[in-house]
Amino acid sequence: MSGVAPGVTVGDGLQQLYQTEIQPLLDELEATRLRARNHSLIVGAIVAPITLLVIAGALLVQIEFLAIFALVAAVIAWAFFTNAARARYRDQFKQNVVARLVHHLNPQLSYVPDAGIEQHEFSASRIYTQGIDRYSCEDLITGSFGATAFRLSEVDAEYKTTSTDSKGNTNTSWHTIFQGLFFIGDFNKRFGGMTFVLPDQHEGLLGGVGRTLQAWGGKLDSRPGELVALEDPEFERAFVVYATDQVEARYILSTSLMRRLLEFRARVKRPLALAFIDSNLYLAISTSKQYFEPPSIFFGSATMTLDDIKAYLADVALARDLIADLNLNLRIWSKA
Amino acid sequence: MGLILLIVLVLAVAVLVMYNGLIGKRNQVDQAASSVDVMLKKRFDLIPNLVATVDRYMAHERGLLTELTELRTRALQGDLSTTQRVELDNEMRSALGRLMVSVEAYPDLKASQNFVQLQGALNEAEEQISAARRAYNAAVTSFNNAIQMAPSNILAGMLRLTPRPLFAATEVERRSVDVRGMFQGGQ
Repeated sequence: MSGVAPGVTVGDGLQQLYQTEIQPLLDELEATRLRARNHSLIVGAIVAPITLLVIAGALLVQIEFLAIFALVAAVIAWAFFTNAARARYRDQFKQNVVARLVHHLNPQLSYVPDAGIEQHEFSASRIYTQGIDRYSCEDLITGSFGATAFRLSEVDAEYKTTSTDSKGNTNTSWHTIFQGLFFIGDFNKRFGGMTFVLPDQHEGLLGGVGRTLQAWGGKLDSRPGELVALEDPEFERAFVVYATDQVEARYILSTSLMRRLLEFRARVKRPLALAFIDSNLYLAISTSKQYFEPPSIFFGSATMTLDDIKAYLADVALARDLIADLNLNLRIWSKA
Repeated sequence: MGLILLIVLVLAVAVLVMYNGLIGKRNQVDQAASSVDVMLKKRFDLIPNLVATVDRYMAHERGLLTELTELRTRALQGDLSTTQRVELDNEMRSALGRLMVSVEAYPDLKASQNFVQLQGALNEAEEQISAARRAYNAAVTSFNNAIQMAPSNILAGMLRLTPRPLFAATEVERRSVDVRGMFQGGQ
């Protein structure tokens, strides 16, 4: 259950909030979960015997195709008839519990479960240059901490490949471009060019040769900019930097920001990719964890403990920690 | 015969690539040096504005303001060597640092919108100068590596390319950074 931000400091208010407000919400949620579970089980109990009969009949008359068809149809039918109940449980969790935690963190923040970072915003970062064929996003948190306005949501971007085998069957497979949390924040310095900080893939292994490969790689994909060699060896091992302006890249990536980025990366233990465009900071944290989702309707229970709620709050507080860790509220430059 | 021709051709291409690489790196150093100048000039250009803003409040700091104005005049005279410019820049930094400390004694000035803006612009100029210096150092390191490492060092010797010096922080700068830190901490 531990999130991307394990070191979050949770104020004393949480214990009280848990006892007075969260627990009653969780009791209601547990009731919803049980209803959803029972409903799902009943639908299953109706669909399963019918399916088994059809499959048995199909195998008897040796039409394997029909058996497979029946199985697929059963799964679809079950999902169709239970979807509403499962969605209700999920919505109730997000709209009551997660929204309450977001409000607890900062009443000025807004949380919209069904919205997210739009595809055009995601693409504007130019962190991922692969064309997107399927895009989804949810759990949008917006607002500001201190002087830094931000948007944060879950994003899932994929592309597809199709291949045709010798029999003429086409196979479509989906590949992940990015899955995880995507953050867009107002950077504390003004700049006009583009700077990209991407996870290093070659240099750690190959040193100077890797650097040459990186310089070529930067030219091969459609991302603008040239390789920037920075003086911090640890940073160079962790990241590779491309920028349209060598001086501006160093203006953005001050020695202190490089250190802070390394510390943040060590804390979240996930690959990070950043883009600095139009005085904005785009940050992509790759992770397969699903954020802000309730416990399963079949296993576990919705009556969560204070520690479970703390873990959710830690996830909700990620944007705040990121802004603090990268010191984005330091506004001593001409940008207000 | 064909083999000899091939070897000569390969060698010629290698020399050409190396030559272009060296000249490209040298030009990058020059370009980085000029961007340091541009950033330094940005800060010098802020001085008249700063003096005008501060003048009304700081009757007792005339000496310091005169010093700043003189430094700027000297900097704008042109035909300065890089070393001289760096020296001027260091003096400028130290004078600005002292000014920022004495501002503490003038709460009205500290609170004035004009001054807050100027202070932001100065901090920004400072950060950009430091970025330009780092870019310069990176370009110089790449250039020095190229002319000292085999095999391009042979060609560099023939072209009489010599290593360039890196920017290093001076004693004055280290002190002025501390002063600025104190000042910002006091806000």
